[in-house]
Amino acid sequence: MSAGVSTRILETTMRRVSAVVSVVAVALMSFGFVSILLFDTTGSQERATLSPPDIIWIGRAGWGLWAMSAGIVLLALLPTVRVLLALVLFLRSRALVDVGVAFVVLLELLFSMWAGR
Amino acid sequence: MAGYISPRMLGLIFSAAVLITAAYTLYKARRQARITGETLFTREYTVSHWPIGMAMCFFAGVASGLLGVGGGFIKVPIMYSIMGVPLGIATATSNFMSGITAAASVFVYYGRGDVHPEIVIPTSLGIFTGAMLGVYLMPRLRVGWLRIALVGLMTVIGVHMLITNL
Repeated sequence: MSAGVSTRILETTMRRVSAVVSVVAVALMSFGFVSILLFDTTGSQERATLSPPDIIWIGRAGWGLWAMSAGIVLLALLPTVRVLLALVLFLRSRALVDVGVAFVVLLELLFSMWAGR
Repeated sequence: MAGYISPRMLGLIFSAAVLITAAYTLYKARRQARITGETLFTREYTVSHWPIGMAMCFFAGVASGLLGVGGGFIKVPIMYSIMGVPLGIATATSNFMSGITAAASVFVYYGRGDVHPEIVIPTSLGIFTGAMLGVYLMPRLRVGWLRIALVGLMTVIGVHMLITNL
């Protein structure tokens, strides 16, 4: 696979993934925000997002808070997904320097996830 | 370093750095525009002076860490006027860098419970809509207008910081 072709594939794939993930995340956040505004009577200003393990249990902490937390986590995961995609495509095109750079960035992001767990 | 320098002095140093970079960006762009027609997204360019660019980005990072400001409006002029990267590509690269560095810290803040949906969601919806509009408008605008907007923004920030810290 030539460098030009692999760059084009990478850009197209990243654009699609970014668009889909962003739209889903924004839809979830908007839904959660509106439902909290309309139906939540606690009025807490100190409400924190759900922890990642709690997000897996859909709806347990209320749909509004769940949708908001899931949207935020999805948006926060987007750069990591993009770097992972780049790594796979660089590996397929055997661009070893790019593979090295993408791998280091991915390690940094995974480390930050581990640190924040 | 933030513990050793007074916030007022930090503000003054930062405002001087921003104003000098704005003036240099304007000077370099006017000189370059006389030599060659400039486009936003040309692929025909060579990155030059990268050791100077790297050193200046290091200081931009230090200023960013000390003052809690985003480094985008420092990185873009450095890439554009010193390293010879076209304005559109410098903006896209800066956005990507900001995304990655922000992504590295977001899970730490999230895990500590510092992310509050009532603040995050309205601001991120605004930024999302604005960013979509910006990306749509960018190829439709002239390089000169964007350059004026960039230099104007830097001047406003630099003057504001200078006035508040004098």
